[in-house]
Amino acid sequence: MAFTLNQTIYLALLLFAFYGCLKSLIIYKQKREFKYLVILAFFLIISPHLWMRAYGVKMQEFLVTFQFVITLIPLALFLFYDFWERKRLEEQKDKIRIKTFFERYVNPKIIEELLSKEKLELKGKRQVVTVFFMDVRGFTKMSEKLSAEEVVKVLNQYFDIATTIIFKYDGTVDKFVGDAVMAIFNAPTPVRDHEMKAVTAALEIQKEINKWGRIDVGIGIHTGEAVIGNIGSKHKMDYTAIGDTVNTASRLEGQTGAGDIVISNAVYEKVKHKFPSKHRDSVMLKGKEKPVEIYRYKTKAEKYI
Amino acid sequence: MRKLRLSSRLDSLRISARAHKLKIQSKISQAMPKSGDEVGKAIEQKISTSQKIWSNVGVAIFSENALENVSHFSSYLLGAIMMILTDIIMIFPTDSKSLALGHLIPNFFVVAIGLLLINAVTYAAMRLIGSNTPFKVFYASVNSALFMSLLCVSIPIALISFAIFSTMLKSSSALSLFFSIIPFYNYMVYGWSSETIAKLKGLKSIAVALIALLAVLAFNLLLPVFLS
Repeated sequence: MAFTLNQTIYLALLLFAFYGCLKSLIIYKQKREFKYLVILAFFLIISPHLWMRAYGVKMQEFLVTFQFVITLIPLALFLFYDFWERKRLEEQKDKIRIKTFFERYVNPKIIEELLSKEKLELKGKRQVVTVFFMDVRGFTKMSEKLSAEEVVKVLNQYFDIATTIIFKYDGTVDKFVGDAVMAIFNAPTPVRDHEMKAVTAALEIQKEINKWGRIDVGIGIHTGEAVIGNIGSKHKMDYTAIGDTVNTASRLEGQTGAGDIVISNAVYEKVKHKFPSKHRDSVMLKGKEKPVEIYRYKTKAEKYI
Repeated sequence: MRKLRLSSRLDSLRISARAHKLKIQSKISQAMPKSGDEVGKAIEQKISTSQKIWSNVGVAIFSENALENVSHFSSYLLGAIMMILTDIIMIFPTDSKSLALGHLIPNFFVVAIGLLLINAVTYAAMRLIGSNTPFKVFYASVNSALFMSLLCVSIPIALISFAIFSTMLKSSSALSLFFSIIPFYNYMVYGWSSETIAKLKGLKSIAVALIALLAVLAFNLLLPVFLS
């Protein structure tokens, strides 16, 4: 078939319109923005017109030629809708799964942030985190005096105070071990001034616990590199941190008395301008060869916040 | 014991005998069968390219991952094979009446030159616009995409539509009109693969695609003039 110049121009325009359809569909697939569907619709509408002009075809011939294609459009639309709906439901299911998995540990604000990300990094990685350990002082003695129901009630109230404040400062509750709480700051999402937030959370928790008055707690905080990720077996897996930083934080917590917060030098360097402490000490921690410099906040005797 | 002194002739004979022995040994080692592992690797190397191509048939339906995979094992040989296969498909007319066996060979060369020209024009445009993609990668990837789109999409659609039009609609004009739309799919694949392989962004990327589309359209419009 020989084409006139006019027809050739329409052929080129038809080709560009098809390319427009393809490109808008590809970009829509990547960005999921409605405007690309509008662009796609525009190119889809003008393409038949350009085709008729390019081949000098009338509407009747067009309908005869493409009647099968036209009758297949509702089916194609249905399949397309079904495909997207399935994909959307699958994504929703994933999000619910992640949400239920994390909402026990993380501030809901962080969950939303995690879900809005394209990819969720839960694989093991080494990064700087601030690890927070808290334990009830004299818990065994106290539990001997109370009934089992009362112990559970007191513990639940204590965990409630702790998690609310940890969440408030963008921390992640890693685990509850008996009456102890382990929390991490700066994972799974980055937290600005995580050392400062961990210490502020600790001071606020001590303030609230002192106000409540039923128990006394001690808190240890250390910052450094740790391996973070989903750690465990295929039967039970937890998002947690492991490494020397975690052990040191736990040992620092062991150095606390009732109402004390003990932090390492690494943490103190980041918070000393806001929360200076007069109680500097050098202690031997289990598993360490050299004495470790620590700073203590005595919240029962002094006011920091 | 008295030491025997060899004559210089005997010495040279010994040297040539040693050289001859080494030559024989090297011939034997060449003729000896290689280890099973080596033979397996050689076979795998030979068949893996075709397997890789088939496992990346997604290039025919605009899969960027598939095109990326194809670009990783691109070579001039692969590009040439794909171009020749495309050429063979293109030299056959769509109706049996215009098939003239004597013209197939000249047409093969005309189409080959045409394909090489559009590749050259598109690649030159790509480089001018700012792409750094090597010609080998472009040549092999784009021709693979074009061949796969012809083989896996255009030909099946043409056969199905031929069956539908000739049995149900019985309209030869509608069939030829419908056939006119099928090559546009291949043009799209050519334009899209050139654009993707150019690895440019924004308007530059679109410009590469449009130039590639115009080149392939011009090729298809001018081809009947040169075909015998």
